[in-house]
Amino acid sequence: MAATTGNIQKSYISTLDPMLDTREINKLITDVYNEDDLSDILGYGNKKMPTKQPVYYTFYDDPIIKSITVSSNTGTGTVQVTPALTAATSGYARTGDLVLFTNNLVGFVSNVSTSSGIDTLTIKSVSGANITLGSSDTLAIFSRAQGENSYSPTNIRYGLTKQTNKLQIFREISRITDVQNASTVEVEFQGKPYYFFKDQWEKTVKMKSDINAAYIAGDMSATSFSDITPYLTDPNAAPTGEVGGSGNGAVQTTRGINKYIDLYGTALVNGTLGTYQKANLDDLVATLIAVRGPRKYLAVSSTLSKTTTDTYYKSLGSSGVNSVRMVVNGRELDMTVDRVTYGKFELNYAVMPMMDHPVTLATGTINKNIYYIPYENKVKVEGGGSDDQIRVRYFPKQSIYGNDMINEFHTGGLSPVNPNGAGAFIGVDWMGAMGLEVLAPQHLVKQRVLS
Amino acid sequence: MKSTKTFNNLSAKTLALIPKLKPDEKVIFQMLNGVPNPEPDEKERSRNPILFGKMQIPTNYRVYDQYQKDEAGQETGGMVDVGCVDIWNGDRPEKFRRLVPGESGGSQFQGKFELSGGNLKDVELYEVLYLHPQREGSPCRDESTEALFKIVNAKTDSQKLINKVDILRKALDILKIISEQDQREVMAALNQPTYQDPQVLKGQVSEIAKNTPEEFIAAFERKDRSVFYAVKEAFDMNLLSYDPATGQTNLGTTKVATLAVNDLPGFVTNFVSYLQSAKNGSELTENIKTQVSKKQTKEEPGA
Repeated sequence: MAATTGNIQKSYISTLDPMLDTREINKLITDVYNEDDLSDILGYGNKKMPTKQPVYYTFYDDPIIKSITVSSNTGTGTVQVTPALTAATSGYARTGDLVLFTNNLVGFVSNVSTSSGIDTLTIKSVSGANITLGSSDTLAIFSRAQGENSYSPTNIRYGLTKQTNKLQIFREISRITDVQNASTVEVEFQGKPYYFFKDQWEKTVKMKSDINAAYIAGDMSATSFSDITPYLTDPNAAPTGEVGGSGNGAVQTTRGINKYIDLYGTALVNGTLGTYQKANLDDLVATLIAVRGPRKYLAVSSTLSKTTTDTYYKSLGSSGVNSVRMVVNGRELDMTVDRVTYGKFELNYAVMPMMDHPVTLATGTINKNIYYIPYENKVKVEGGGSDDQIRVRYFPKQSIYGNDMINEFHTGGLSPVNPNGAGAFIGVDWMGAMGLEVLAPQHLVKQRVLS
Repeated sequence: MKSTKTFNNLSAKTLALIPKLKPDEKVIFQMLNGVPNPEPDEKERSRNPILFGKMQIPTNYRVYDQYQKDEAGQETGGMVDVGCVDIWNGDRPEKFRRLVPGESGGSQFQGKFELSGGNLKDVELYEVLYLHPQREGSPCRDESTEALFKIVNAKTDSQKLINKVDILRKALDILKIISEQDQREVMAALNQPTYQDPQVLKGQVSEIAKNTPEEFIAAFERKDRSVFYAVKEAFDMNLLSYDPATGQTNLGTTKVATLAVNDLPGFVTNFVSYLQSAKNGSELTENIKTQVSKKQTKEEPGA
């Protein structure tokens, strides 16, 4: 352009060439969705244990002290009754057992006859008082009495029940081409103007979210890696010419806390959803007693679920709610909890960020519940000692890079860590095989508080 | 159940729907939250084939009572709060019955619990559970929520089982006598492939008869199944053609109908209906059957 007369002004410069003006861009990328914080729940407990098999088992005991339930009865109002028991409670009673009736009267089991799996007992009143027995009463076998010069009582066998869960393979990928890797962008991530760093951070958040969410909402697959004709198979096959795994393998998934409770724990539901009442707290305490739960519980939920208990406690004249730092096994976690003592139980209420995520767990009813999880994360084992109650089972890392649970693969001709092949890209994959394990899930309770 | 002006205030007609429990009568309830035991080990699975988690049944709820009367005494219907109240504070319910079936059992819950007619507390709970919106078969069922439990009626359940077996037996009896042509017609009427190989055809028909005997019997008893077969074959042989965009149906090069359907199964069903209702339907049906038959004869090996 030829020289011209006049002041240099904005419109003059702007019309010379659009590229002369710099662009004013905030180099920081706004994290609108805040999904890193929302996805991180594994800080709780930090318990993990390697496994040597992709399917892992645990056994729990039967109750030693049993109750019996009457199915039908004859003789009520006399000193001797002959109740037939329900099938579910047959097989435990022995002659010589002492049973406690609902009016505290004590009976002595003088005979047990069994037909088609149903026990019929003859029970005599110890004191000679008449026995009152309803046709669906539940009685406790609370003690035993033997005669002089006695012979051995019938032997009773206590069984074991097996629980199973499976590892799940989590995997994520990052790929960037030579051109885009060399090109700078106007925005920065951790001070660097390259898109690659942004991608890597996002994939880490995604994988962490996938793992954490599976530990809450996942369900154990029927398919195992060992299945000859698996129902679930990986639809991703390796591209033609790709060296390595062929894909299309069997897929198995791990069971999360929610399904553990559905199968083995207790699911409570408030009659008036949205309003927490004393009756709901009483329901919870009665359940914790029934399941022989430990004294301290962590009550985790979404913010909205927690507001129902907040509203209830804070409307009380003297609620005794204390806000304290959360401590598990002596380790202080960056989490504030509201502590309440009721009956013999200590309830520590906390919001689990993931349950506030507007998408991850929002489509079902999980974020409408409060989950009661043993606070100390320890469960007693028979014969003394204890074990971690909730923990992650995993295959230890098999690659050079990564941490003990996550394998990190580097690929591509331009990889700064492990250059290989002729492809003009940098590739990183992360893969972890891990699953949840809950011992004594019977101690876990969830309580639906929102509609 | 005790009622007040604001609670359990159900109409007499709705209350009359609850069968009275005799003193020596028992009602068995079955929880519906059972899932097949996911345990991989068959031996362990056989001990508890179905797992029932312990789930609380709320004993207070709100239902729509269609017989509620307004102030003028007209049956206009209305919402009523209902519950099994253990503690009353005047006319206000203070505490409801806590019901978590199987909780006291200790070992794995088998999914059943029972209430006894001779027990007053049981009778009160039974009345509330009978009208429960989450009971399968309740007169006040709320379809927007999943059914949590049902009453076990051994007589009805047994009859259902007997009927099911009878239907299966009838399907298997048909299977014994069904001709190859009838098999193809049944498959066509069910919008299934008609398979060329008789052995494969018989296998597929047997599978359908076993898995969905009611549908199989209905298809066999259809008087128009030969029409379904002819239309399907004509379509497969390109004698009939159909343009989904315009709905134009041609037999050979002659336009015979215009149908508004989007897919082939929909086309076959609609075209058969058209043939049954159109003035020249019988004539057209015969024409299609003849052309299919001619083409089949031509295509037979050695023909």
